[in-house]
Parts: sequence; structure tokens; C-alpha cells
Amino acid sequence: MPSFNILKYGMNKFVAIRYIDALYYTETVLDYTVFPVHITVGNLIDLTQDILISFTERNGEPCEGLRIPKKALVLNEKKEDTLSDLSFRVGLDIGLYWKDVVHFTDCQIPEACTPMYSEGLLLEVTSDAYIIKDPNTIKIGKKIANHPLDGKPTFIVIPKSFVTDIKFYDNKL
Amino acid sequence: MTINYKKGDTVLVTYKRVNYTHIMKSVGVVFEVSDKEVVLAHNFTGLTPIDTTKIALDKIIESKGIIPTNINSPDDLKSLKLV
Repeated sequence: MPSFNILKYGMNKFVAIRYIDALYYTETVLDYTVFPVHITVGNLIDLTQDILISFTERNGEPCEGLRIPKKALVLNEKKEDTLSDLSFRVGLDIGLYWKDVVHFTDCQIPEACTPMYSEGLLLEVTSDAYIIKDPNTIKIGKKIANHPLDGKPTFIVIPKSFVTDIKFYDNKL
Repeated sequence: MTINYKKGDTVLVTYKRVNYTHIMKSVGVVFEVSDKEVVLAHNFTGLTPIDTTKIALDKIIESKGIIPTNINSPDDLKSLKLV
């Protein structure tokens, strides 16, 4: 049984939301400056844990939409950096656990945002992102799968606000 | 009842699919419109749509314009009440 209340369904709470997402690059030279802001319009189903929005419903049931971590929303507020400063780790290997935006289809509503794990060389720490070079990224869940499935990214840019935990490769720190 | 589709309008479209056994409702921004179909975009990066739905005009049961609530602040988020 999904964790959200099925009684919340109904095409009656239309919202427009701005959000950011992690970026994957396959080019050898990184061309990142800022996270592009995505805008989505849909019916708000649930906001208990994440923002659950449907674009399309079939016979009254949400059929396609997005599950977006609340921290991915672009809101007019001061973002607090709750994680420790990792700039001293630049040039070293690191592993980051983070939550990803999920696009659902075929009325298969995800019960949570996809937990992800990315590891590789910490290339840069910006005010809002961690940039990992030659990353290996996996989806953590019932079935662990590489992500993205097609092509090996050369860089991944992860919003700091998405990160839930950090793993260091050595025990000196 | 259907409306005249204008690019950029946000609409809720009710339509039939799969031998008329499914009643679909789709919300989005009118991205393209022709004499045969309308394309709704559900999310954008800038002006580039990410996810879209193409709906044949002859399958549409009803369309209406909507004004979505903009979520711009934590207070906007708190003010949403789901029932």
C-alpha cells in the first residue's frame, strides 16, 4: 500500500513548481555554471515526504508525473548548508548518497524518491553543488542498477541539498 | 465543451483513449496546436519541454483553462492543504 493517502487523489490542486535536478555530463570538458531550473505544472497529490505531482490521470488514477524531493524546490529562501564543508576533500575520492527526482509512468507511483549513490573524484565544491569526476552512480533499492544505463558520465553535478550522507575512502579524517 | 487552444495557456484536458475504455485527464501548457491535435507540455527547462502529451482533438471530451498556484516560498508550501 502506498504511503500516501489515496483519498488525496483528484484533479483539483494545480500547482506550478520550480525545481533543480542532478546533472550528468559525458563531455571531457565540464561546462557547468549553475543548475538549470525546471518548471512543472500538475496536480498536487501529496507533499508529506516529497512533492508528488501528476500530469495525467487515467480513470481517476494518477498515471504520469514526478516525485520531487522537497529540497529540490527552488524557493525564495536562504538555503542553509547543513553538510560539513568538503572543500578540503577536493582532489580526493568521495562517495555521496543522495535522493533523485523520479518520473513515473503507467500509474506506477513511486513510494519514495530514488536513493542514489555516486562515487568518484571530488573535482570541485561550489556554493550549491558537488562535482564528481569519472563517477560511478547506482540506484539503491530492491534492484541495484547503474545509472544512467546508457553511456558512462564523465562528470556528475549533485545539488548539495540532495545529499543525505557522505562516505570517505580513507579513515584519516 | 472545448476551448480555443492558445500556446502558453495552462489547460486541463479530458479525453478518451484505448477504444474509449479509458478516460484520461491531462494538465499542461499548450505547446503546439494544429487542426488535428494539441501538444501539452508538463515540465520545462527554459522554453524546452521535457515531458509532453499529444492529444488528438477528436478524442477530447472537455477542456478548460486553469490557473495553477505558484509555489515560490516555504509559506506557499505550508498553505497547501490536501483533503
